[in-house]
Amino acid sequence: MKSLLFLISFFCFTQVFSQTFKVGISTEFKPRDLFLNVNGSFQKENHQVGLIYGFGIQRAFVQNHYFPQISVNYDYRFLNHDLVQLFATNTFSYSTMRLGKTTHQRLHVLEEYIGFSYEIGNKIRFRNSILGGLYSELISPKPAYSVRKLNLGYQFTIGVLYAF
Amino acid sequence: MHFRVIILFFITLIVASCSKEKSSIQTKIIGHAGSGMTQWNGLFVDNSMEGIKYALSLDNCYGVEIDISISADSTLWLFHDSELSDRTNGQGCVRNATDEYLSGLHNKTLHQEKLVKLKDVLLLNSNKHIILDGKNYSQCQQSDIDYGLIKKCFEKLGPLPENVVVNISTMELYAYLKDLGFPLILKIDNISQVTSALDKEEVTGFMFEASKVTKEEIRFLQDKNYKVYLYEVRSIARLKKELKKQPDYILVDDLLNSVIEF
Repeated sequence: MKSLLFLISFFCFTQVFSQTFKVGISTEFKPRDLFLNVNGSFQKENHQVGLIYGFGIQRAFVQNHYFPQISVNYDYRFLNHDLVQLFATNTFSYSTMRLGKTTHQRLHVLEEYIGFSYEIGNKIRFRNSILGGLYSELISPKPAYSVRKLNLGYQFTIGVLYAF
Repeated sequence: MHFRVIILFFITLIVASCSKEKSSIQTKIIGHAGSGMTQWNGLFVDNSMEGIKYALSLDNCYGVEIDISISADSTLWLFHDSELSDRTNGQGCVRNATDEYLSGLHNKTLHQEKLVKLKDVLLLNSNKHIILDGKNYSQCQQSDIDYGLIKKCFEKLGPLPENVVVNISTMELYAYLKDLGFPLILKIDNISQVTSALDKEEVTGFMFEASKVTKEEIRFLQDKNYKVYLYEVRSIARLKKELKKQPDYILVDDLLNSVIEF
């Protein structure tokens, strides 16, 4: 019984210490805009999930137009070498903006990208990603003419994280 | 509890993105060559049906400008250049290609958009502005296209809808097109060239390269009840600058970002 309790305690202890929370900021280059994001993620062994929230810098600062974006991220770590971690990354993003000041027409963009990311560092980590995949642009209310909705897209991300 | 927080977050996201500011700009946006030309991040190739439909679908886009070329069968097709091999899987000049040959061609792009007849654009029955930019010079033949042939092509097409205007780049073409019942706009390099068209009833406006006309010159023409169109407006910074001149229409290349200015 004592050995079983020891094993359970040991298991829980190691599990607790293999978990990492990270918060940080990043900039994300996409053909549509350059996004400034805040992000939080949770890593447990080789699996990492993250939530990213940001807005388009060009729309905001050049056009005074709010273009928010939210993304969920899943990383699988396949290389862990000292201070360097390499991940296969899958990210799903949704962004939206109103198509003018005098209209209720709105653009919705859904993106599903896969690619690679790496993190370098210990407590403070630099993270870069290169991702590509499919994105879909939808206009609401439904426009007069139907046009192609699915396209190929890509993004590059550079950011800094604090792990605890 | 978590579910409510998430819902509240999304509602905040949507509400925050709704700008209350109203636009007071009178200038109208026109999609250059459909939904824009020479845009590295453009969704659609220029003069494609997809690009035109996309532009006409946007509330703040008042219409499209499209480039038309004449085929060997005297049919008007949407094509900017003379040489087919530069942009499509075809060979030779548009002017020497038959309709059957052009119908089988597509652009050398990822989505391989097919070439489009002008007639098919008019069948969209859009009530938005459609500006036809007729090519009256053939690079392949290194000579002007016979103006009589241009007239014949328009006659073959039948009466154009009221929302269509034709952009001509020489007043020599005026004599051939003036009786066909559609408004004409004259593309000019500077304000001094306006005089040749001032007494011509069918000329309803003037098209300028944006950098070659001033606000005062635009106002002068508007006072005489002419519409002023500006082109070569490729960026948002340029659009903001040209909006201060208050022309009637601006042909833009970054269409999606241009419409959100209004």
